[in-house]
Amino acid sequence: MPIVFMHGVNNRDDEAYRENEAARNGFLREIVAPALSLTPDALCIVSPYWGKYGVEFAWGLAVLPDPEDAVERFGADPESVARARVAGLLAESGTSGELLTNARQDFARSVEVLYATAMAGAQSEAEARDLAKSYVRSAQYAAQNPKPPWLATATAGNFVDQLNYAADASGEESFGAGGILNALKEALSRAANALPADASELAVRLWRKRLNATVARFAGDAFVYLKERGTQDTPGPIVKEVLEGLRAARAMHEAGDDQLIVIAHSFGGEIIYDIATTFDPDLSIDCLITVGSQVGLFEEMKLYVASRKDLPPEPPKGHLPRPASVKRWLNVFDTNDVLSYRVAPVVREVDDFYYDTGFSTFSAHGGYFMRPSFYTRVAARLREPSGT
Amino acid sequence: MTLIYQNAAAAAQPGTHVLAIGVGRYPHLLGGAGETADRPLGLRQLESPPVSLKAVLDWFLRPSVVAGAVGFRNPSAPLASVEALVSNDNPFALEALPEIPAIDAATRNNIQEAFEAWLARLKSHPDHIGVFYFCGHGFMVANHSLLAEDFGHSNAQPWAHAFDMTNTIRALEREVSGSVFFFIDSCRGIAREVALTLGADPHALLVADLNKGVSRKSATAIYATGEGELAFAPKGGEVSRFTSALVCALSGYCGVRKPGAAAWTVDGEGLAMAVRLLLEFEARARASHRQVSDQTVQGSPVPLLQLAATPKVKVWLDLLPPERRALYELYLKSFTGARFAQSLLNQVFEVDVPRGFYEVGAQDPQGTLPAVAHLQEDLFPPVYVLTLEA
Repeated sequence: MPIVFMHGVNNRDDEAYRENEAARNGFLREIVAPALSLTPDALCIVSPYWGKYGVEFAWGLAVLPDPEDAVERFGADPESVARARVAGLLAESGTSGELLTNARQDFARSVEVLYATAMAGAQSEAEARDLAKSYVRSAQYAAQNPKPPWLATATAGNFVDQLNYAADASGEESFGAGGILNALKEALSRAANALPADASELAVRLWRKRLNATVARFAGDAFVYLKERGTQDTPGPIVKEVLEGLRAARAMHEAGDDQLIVIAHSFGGEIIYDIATTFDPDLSIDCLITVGSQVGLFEEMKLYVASRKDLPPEPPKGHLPRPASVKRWLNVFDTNDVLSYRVAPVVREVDDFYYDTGFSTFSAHGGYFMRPSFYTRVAARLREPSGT
Repeated sequence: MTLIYQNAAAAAQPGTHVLAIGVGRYPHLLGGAGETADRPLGLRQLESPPVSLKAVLDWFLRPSVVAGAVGFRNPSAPLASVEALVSNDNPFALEALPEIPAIDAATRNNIQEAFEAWLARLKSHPDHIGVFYFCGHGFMVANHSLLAEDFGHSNAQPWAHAFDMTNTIRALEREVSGSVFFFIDSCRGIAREVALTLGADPHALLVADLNKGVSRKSATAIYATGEGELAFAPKGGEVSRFTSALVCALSGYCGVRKPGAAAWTVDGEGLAMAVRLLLEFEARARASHRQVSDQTVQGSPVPLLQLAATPKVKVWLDLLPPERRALYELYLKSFTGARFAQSLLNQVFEVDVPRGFYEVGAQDPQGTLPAVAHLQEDLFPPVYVLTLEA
């Protein structure tokens, strides 16, 4: 049962993209795979990368008010990148870096931020998988024990040790601590150090600096896709790349277990919808999960190949049918994500559900996959019967 | 007290001196009875070390109480002394020596004192053999450190109640003339917190005087796990994986015989290989938490054991496809004529046999189905694993 992950616009094959992929795949394996009755190792994940066909700026975005905004660097090393992500996460979710202090107010939220902070530094899928397994235990413990007695006397030095100890359910005794503790302690340190006194302002300034360039790439990738998507007989390069990934995933199915799950982030949702309605309407998708996407908005604007201005006949009363090849469709949105939209008002038999990324405004758009609880929510939804 | 056995009669001749430590109770680590350390390194109470220590001590002491019992045997260097420390909440008792008084706790000071007493004995004869066994928590940065019971007692000196085993070994190699065997059953995970703390390195039990050359005849260090890795024990107070493999290897599952010699000898190299293979054998069906022993063997081979009996091999013989198992006899036929067999059972054939050359095969007692045979299999300790296909 493969999962195809479709990235959205503004993704390029760089270190950040690969780290995001490793962390995401680790959490998909450990948290989402069991909801599909799969062992984590058995889950095949296919991630067609179409960013290479995205927009290129002939003058390197020289048109930006401040050309330096096109590139933002905290530093060349991965830890600097991770710390930058955490600075944004904390600043925009209204959380301080003092996770122990926060934990005494809201234990479960603090655990969530701790693991999100650890995820930001995950260097490999194996590390992310260990984090995901540990997160499931810790989140469950925090939910069941919102005020554990040890929290009152815990110190910044032993908070993570005590959490890990309390939540552990290992079947074996080990004569030392595992690497997961190092990852969590590093996360704690990252959270504490990512926000010095004036760092909130710094983080906000940083994303503002990036905003111009990000919007330019977002719109640019979308325009390139719309201009070059081609036709059913001669699909464009982005469609071809994605179709290859989807068909490869479809071909992986084993006898009696031929489910195909597609997770499409942002503009990836529009591409999948175009494929399901035009480019390959016969390619069966057992469950489509669109996340922070604009599928509904683009249909309102009639921008798909299959869009017809006379359908539905009496908008906004009528609905379009769900593409016949898509057996189930979950659409995840965050009201803070200005780029996410509902689908259910436009397409029938789509389950819209709200997920609070904890991020504000523009950053919420990329925040879904950085939150460990996102995966548990998706897994819970997948366990539910369709339509509930 | 710490000296639980001393053979005064053996004082003037080469002997084997054992120092064995098991630490399960850590009051300042997670779940302990004392104030939790500010930086406990994620470490908690352990149930296995006292039980593992008992297994090792009983193995060493049993033959000195019951003649012929499975355990330590070395006529060239008989058991001369056993020093032990244990940290455990429950009373500690040995089967081999049921009357011993309470054993001292494995605090850092007690370990230091016991080590110095053991070292003094070890240095009293140029052919003495030393055995150092530790089971408890450990961590690595540049060196491997082992944790005493009172680890975490001081938040100002958070790693003070541990000791640097790596440099202890280097120092010891320059102090003794005989041979030393180190069996270290602890984790070797990298402790990033320690690495990022200046002045945190635990001290060795003995300073290494580099003006002195290495004087020992041989030094064997067998670690429960590799650098950066963890060591494990089943929960519920059972002997650890490594100590199980060690005691098993020592109990007749390794050894070589010099040309013309009557006895089988077990030196560091043979023991190291046997422990590693037994750990792998035990882990063959395990998907996670693999544990691979790390080992260093230096110097000339000096036997720790001299055995009268031929070493044994654990045989694990299977037949595929599974539905054929109940139709076949699985057998091993020694070149000396001994035969071991399992007939018409739908299960793996597991048996211990003396080392040697065997014909190994499967045959249909009815003579209908085709036979399978490997005619000259070298069954070498400690394990022999084969799946036949019919």
